[in-house]
Amino acid sequence: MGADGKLCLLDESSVLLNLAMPDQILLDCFDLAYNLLLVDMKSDNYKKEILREFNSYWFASAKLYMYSAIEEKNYGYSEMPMFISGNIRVLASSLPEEKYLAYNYLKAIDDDKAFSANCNVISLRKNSKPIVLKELYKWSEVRKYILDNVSGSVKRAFQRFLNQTISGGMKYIVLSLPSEHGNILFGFRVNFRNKRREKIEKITNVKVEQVYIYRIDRKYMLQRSGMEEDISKKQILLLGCGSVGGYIANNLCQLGIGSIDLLDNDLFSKENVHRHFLGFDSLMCKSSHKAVLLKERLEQMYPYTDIDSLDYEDRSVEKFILKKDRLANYDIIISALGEPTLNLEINRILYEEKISTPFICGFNEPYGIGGHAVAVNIDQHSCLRCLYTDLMSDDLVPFRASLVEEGQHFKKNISGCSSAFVPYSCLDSQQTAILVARLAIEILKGEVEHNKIHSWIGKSDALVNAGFIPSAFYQFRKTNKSEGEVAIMTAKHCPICHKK
Amino acid sequence: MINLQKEFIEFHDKIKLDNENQILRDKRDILLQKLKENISKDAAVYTTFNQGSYAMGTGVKPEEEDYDIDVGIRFDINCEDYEDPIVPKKWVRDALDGHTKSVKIRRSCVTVTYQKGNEPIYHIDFAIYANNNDDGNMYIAKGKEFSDDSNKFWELSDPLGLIEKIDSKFTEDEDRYQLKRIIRYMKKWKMHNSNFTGNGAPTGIALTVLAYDYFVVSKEYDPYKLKYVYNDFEALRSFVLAIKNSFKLQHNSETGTFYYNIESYLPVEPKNNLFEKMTESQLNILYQEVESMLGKLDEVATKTKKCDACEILVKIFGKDFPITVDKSMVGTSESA
Repeated sequence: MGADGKLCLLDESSVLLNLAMPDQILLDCFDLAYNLLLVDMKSDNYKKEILREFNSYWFASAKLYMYSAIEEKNYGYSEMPMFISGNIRVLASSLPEEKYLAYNYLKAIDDDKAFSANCNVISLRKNSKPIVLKELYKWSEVRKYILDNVSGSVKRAFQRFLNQTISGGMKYIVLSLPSEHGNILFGFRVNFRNKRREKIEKITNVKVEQVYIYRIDRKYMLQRSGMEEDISKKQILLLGCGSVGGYIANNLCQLGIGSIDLLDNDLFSKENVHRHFLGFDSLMCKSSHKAVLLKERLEQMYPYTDIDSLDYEDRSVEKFILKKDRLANYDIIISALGEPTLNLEINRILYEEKISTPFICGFNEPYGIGGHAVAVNIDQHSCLRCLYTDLMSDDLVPFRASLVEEGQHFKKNISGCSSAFVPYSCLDSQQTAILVARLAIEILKGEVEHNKIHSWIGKSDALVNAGFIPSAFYQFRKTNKSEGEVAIMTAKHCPICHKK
Repeated sequence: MINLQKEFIEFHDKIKLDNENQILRDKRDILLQKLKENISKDAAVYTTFNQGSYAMGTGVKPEEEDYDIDVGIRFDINCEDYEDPIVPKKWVRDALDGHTKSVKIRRSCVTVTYQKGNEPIYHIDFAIYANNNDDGNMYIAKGKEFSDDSNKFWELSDPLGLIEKIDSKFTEDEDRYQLKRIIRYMKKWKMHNSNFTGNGAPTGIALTVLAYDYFVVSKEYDPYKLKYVYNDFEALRSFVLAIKNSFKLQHNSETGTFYYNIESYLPVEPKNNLFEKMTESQLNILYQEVESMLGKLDEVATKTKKCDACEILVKIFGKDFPITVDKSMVGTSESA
C-alpha cells in the first residue's frame, strides 16, 4: 500500500515498462488488480501480506506521529518516559537520550513548552493478529485487543494499569507486534476526558487516536545499509584524518560502526578543501584539528556512533603508539597516514608484542593511477614489512606492489616545503576509502582469513603525461584487468615476521 | 643476508671487456685491413672470425692495460696439402711484419704486439686454421717457425664450438648473462691473486669450462616486479664451492706426496684436460686459493652491513669492487 493509502500494483523501481505499449500497460494493470481482488482473505498469504503492509495502513489512518529509538526486544508491559515538544514526540531508552535526539536531530525547539509523559510499551504475543483496521477506535476495542493478544504476565500488569483510577489525562500506548521481519510498532494516544476519578478500565469519555511510529532505532536505520552483522559494538582506531582518512571515517560511521577513535595532529586548512571530506565551512569552526572537525561533523550526521578525537599529548601517532597495549584495545586499527615509516612501526609493535588486532593501511598512489588497502595481522605468515623487504635480503625497499616504478619523486612544491603535496584527486581518496571500509567490515565480520592487498587500478595517462613511469606490476594488472585483491607474499628475509 | 647485486653489477660493468670496446675493435680492424692489403699472392683465400673470450663475451679488462684480442683466420686449404703448418702462419706474419715493433709466430698463433707512442700495449693473436679438409673439421696450425718437425702439426680444433656451447647452455638470456658474469668474476679473482705465478694460474678457458660444467643459475621470481631477480653472490658462492668439491686428493707414488688434483675437459675438440699443464704444487696452490676464496665468501654471507661485506670482496677482487654503505632512506609513492 502506498503512502496515500492506495493499493499499489507495481513498484516502479522494480519493473521496466515498455512505454511504446501504453494500452497494453493499462490492460496488464487491470489483470494485476483483478488477481489482487481474487486473493482469498482467509489464506496465510493474505494474512502475511496484511501484516507486511500493516504499517502502511496505519500510516494512512494515523494523524499523530512519534519517533521511536527503543531497541527491538520483548518489553512485556513497560512504562517508559517519553519526551514531547510540540509535535515532536520521542521515545527512547531514557529521557536524556530522547532530549538529545529531539534537539540535535529532530528539529525540536528548546523552549519551556517541552515536557515528558509516560508511555506504555506493550509487547504482543507471537502470532498475534494485527488490530482490525478502522478509521476510529473505541477505548474498549483497544483494551480488548491488548488483553486478547498478550501473555498472562503482561495481561496482569496491564490489568493493574486498567485498575488505576484517574480523573482525565493523556496516555500513550505503543504496541509491539512480532512479525517474521521484526517487530511492528504502532501506537495510540488515549485522551481520558472524565472529570471524576474513575478506573481507567471503566472510563467511557475517551478519545482514541492512532499514532504512527517513525522508527529511528539503530537496527532499523541500518537495515538499508545492508549490514547484517552487528558491528555496533566494534571499536576502531583510525590514524590519519586526511583526504583518505576523512572518507574512511564517514564510510564506517555510515555503515553503523559502534565506536571510532580518530587520531591526527594535522590542522585543516583551505588547501585541503577540495580533497577532504570536510568543506570550507569547517574552516569557520573553533578548532582547526582535522580529527576534532571530523568528529563534530560525523556526530551531526550519525547519532549512534561514539566518536572520539583522541587528544593524547600532541595528538601524534608516534607518541600514541609508545604505550603499546593501547593498540590491543581495538577491534581493528586503520592507518590512513600515507606514511610507511609509521605504518611499519605499528606493524612491528603488533607482531612483536603479539597484539592480535588486525591492521589495515590505506593509501593512494600519485596521479590517479590507483590506491591500496593492505590488511595484515590477520594471519602470521606475512606482515606489512614483507611488502617492503627485498627479495634477497632484509633490506628495506619501497612498497613492492607499487603501481609506479621506484625511485621517482612525486611531491609537488608550489610554495615552499610546508605546502608540498602529491597530486591525486578527491575521487582517488574516496575510492581508496571505499576499499578500506569494505575490507574493514569484511574483517570485522570474520570473513577475511589471510593478509591481503585490495587495490583499485586507475588510468596511467596523467602520470605518464607528467613524465613518470608506471611499474611492471601496474602494466600487468591493467592488461590482465586484475583489479581487486592479491595475497601478500611472504618475504623470506622479513626481519619482522621471519625473524630468526 | 644482504643484497649485493647492485655492487656486483657495478663491479661487472667496471671489469668487463666486450665486443663493444671501441679501442680493441679499431686495432683489430686496422690489422685486418693491413693483412688484406699485404698478404702474399700465393696465399690461399681466407675468412676471419672473432674467437676467445672477446667473442664469447667473457673478457675482462687487463690490470696492466695489456689488452688482448683473438682473431681466427680460416684459410680455404686442406691440411693434407700443407704438411708444414708454418706456411700459412708465415702468410699472416709476413703480411703484418713491420707494422708494429713485434710480429711473432708463436706456438698456437701469430701475435702482433701493438704499441704507439706512450699508448698502452695491445696484442692481437691470430690463430691460423685449415678449413677445407676431407673430414669437414677445422685444424689449427701448431708450432713455431724453427721448431722440430715433431712440434709442428695440425691439431683438430673447434674454436667456435665452445662459444656455441656456452651460448646455448641456457635458453634465457638473463641466465646466460649471469653465467658470463660469474666467469668474469673468476677471471678477475685470478688476475688479482698474487699467489698465482707463471703457469700457476688457471687459464681463462679452464675457468670458463668449469663454469660451463658447474655453474647453477641463482635467481628468484619477484611476483611484484614480475621478473626474475638474480643473485650473483649466491651463484658465485655455490660455483666456488662446486669447484672446491671437484678437487680430488691424490697420491704421487713417486714422490710419496699428496696433492689436490682437478681435471676439466674441453667439451669440444681437442677435448683436452685444461689443467694438465699445471704442476702438483701449482694445483695445491690453486686448491688453497679456491678454499680461501670460499672462506671469504662465506664470511661475506655472515655480514649485516654492506660496507663490511664489500671490504671482504675487495680483498678477493681488488679495488674495482665498490664499497657501499647501507641506506637509511628509501623513496615512497604513498600518500593519503
